Amino acid sequence: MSYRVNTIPMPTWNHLKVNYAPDVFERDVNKSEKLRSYSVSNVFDDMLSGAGSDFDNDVKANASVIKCKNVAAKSGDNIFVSEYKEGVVRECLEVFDGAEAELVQIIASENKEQLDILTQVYAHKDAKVRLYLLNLSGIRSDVRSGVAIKAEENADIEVVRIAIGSHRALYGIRSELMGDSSRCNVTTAYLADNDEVLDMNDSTNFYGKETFSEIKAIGLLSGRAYKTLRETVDFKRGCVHAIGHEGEDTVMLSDEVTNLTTPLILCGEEWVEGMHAATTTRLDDDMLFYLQSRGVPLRDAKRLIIESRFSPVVDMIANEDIKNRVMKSMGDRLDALSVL
Amino acid sequence: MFEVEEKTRVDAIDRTLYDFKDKLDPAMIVNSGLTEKVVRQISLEKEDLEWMTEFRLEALKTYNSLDIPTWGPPIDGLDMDNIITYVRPKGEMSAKWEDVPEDIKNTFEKLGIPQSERLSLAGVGAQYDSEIVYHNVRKEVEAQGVIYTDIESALKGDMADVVRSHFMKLIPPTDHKFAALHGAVWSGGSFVYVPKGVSVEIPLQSYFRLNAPGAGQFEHTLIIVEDDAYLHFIEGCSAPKYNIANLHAGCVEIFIGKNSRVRYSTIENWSKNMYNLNSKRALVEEGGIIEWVSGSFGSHTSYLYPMSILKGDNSRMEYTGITFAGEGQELDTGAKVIHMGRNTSSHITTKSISRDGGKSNFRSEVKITREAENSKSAVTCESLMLDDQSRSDTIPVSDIRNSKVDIGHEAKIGRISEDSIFYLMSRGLSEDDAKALIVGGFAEPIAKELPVEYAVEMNNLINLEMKGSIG
Repeated sequence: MSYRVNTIPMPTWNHLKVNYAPDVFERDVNKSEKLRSYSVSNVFDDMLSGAGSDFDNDVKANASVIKCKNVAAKSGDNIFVSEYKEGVVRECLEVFDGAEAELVQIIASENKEQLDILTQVYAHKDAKVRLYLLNLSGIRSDVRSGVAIKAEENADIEVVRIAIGSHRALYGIRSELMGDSSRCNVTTAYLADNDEVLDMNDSTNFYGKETFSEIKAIGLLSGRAYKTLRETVDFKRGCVHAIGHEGEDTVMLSDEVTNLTTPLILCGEEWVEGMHAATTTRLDDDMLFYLQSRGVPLRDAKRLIIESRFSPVVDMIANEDIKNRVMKSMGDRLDALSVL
Repeated sequence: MFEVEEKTRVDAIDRTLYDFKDKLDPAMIVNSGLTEKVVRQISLEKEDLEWMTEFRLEALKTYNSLDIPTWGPPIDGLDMDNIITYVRPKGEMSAKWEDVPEDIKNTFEKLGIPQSERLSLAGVGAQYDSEIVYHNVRKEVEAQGVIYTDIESALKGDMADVVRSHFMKLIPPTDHKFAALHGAVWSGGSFVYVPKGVSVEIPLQSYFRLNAPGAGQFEHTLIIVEDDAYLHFIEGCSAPKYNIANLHAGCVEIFIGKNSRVRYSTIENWSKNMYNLNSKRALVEEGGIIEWVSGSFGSHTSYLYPMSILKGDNSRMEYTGITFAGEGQELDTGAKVIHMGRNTSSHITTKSISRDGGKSNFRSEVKITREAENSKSAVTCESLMLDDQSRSDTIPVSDIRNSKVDIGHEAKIGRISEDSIFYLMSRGLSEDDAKALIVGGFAEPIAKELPVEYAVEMNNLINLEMKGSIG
């Protein structure tokens, strides 16, 4: 079966090519090394990732790696680190009432490896979850990542995504704020260069009262990169006093980049606040001039400005070793930028 | 903790100002449905030149080959088999109101068109169903070389070659299904030509009235403004409400010369059984400016996104729009802009209000091409929800392909601030008056872009809508 991923909930003009990711996918099931059978908690059954139900079902049916974690305690030990290079992976995390957990997912594909990964996070009442999605892959790999999040009352979820790897990278995060006062923030730092394709589809659906979500991205595009960012905050009827913010701040280094942004605000409830703000600019000439006037060579000045843009996102990674690894990967990518 | 106010709700009042109906008494009417026979009949009736007949038939083929849009509000209630595409009213086009048939003249008098012409317009075109029934332009404006006439006359007059070389070139029938429909069955509309260096200080206005139940109106407006010129064109439209679907698929094409400026203002107040699938587009040369001012109040369903192509360096576009969607309405409005020239700029400002189950969608496209360096674009979209039965969605897209740009987009959705209501009530206003005042203030940036009498009309429309739903 062929299918599309990263479909937005309300389509717009087809010629803009933002209604879904441009590629159509079809898995060769003969090559699939899927597990014969497995079971996960039924709380994950009806969860939907930002990549879409077809992708989710594909991964569920063909997963070769399954990881499921249940966390019932508030403990600093509930930190799970996974690293993947290729294959079809399903990872589930259920965090029970009042518990805390941290899931670090490092994607480190090389060469022409392909990884499809479905991550499902269910946060029960008062649960606290930190999810780090770190794509540090080489520039020849293909990655598709779907994330489904569901939050009960007062659950608090923080997602940090570092999207600086892969030749073709598709990400879709979908959060469902079911419980009152639940929260989910998604913060992304992305970088795409050369002929890389970066396609993101992040959305939050607000059901509970006084729910909050902020989806924001800081990005750098260079070479002939083709980037699509879709952000959606969807206020369902009854989510009174919900607040949803979206934002993107992009710097383009090349005139051959394609930079598509689609920030949707869908609103079926009057007592809400939905906001979006986006900017696309070049590197700040005044800042470059200032740094050069202080003796910093132009290339270094540019790099300094770019690193400073990304650092608030990188600094959200609590684990120092992982943070250093991210900074090293980012440094390597900046060194190799086609235009700087 | 989550206090929800009690609301008073009043039935929507009659829109009698626009809702009166004339007895259907046409000189000629085609059968409903869209067939080659109907298209040929329209062409014959209008005494088309041969190329136009061929153009219509080719557009019909295009229409039949294209799909219904998959991305917009539902238009299932629109069945082309039931739409009458041409209704010729009695009488010939005249430059004198007294020559217009009595019942049609009465219609336009009720709508205040002759009075507006006397007070504040340089010229008026009035279309009733499928044909222009009145067209006149002030002598002093005519003396400047300005041509303002019905488009059928222009297609056969001194400017025939110019009209032919521009007709449906900006919006070709292949653009989308309803542009193709327009190409096949268009009738009526205006042609405006402003020579180089001429500034038309007083606005021109075309008013479109659709009276026949189950009919479509497909007027074509073609405006050519040469270099260093200025024009303000106003478009108004209304129809009585029927229980069956009516259709409006007009087309507006504007060509703006170097360093010229055109302001195109629309107050759209179609009846709430109308499918308003209209297309508007402007091509702007170097240093030129297009300003769209748009108020959308009527229609059952609207697809309306004026598009600006900033072809010349230093050209500019401004779009200022307000949409008010009430019960049973889904108004999908917005704007498109393509930056092609260097140092071009666009500014889109929209406000929308949804109440009583109405759906208001803002949709936009900002495209910066590879050549359009040093371009700037700002999109600001604010939506006000007056109850939880309504919807307000924003679907903006930016497609940026040049690094030397400054692009900003802001969108905000919310309800009337409780603090603002409290403050106004503490100053002696009733709650209803406070809310009406806040909504009026919300729309004020749009109203101030309109000529005074149209701003008054817009404010009256808002008050009319607000009286139907004190929320």
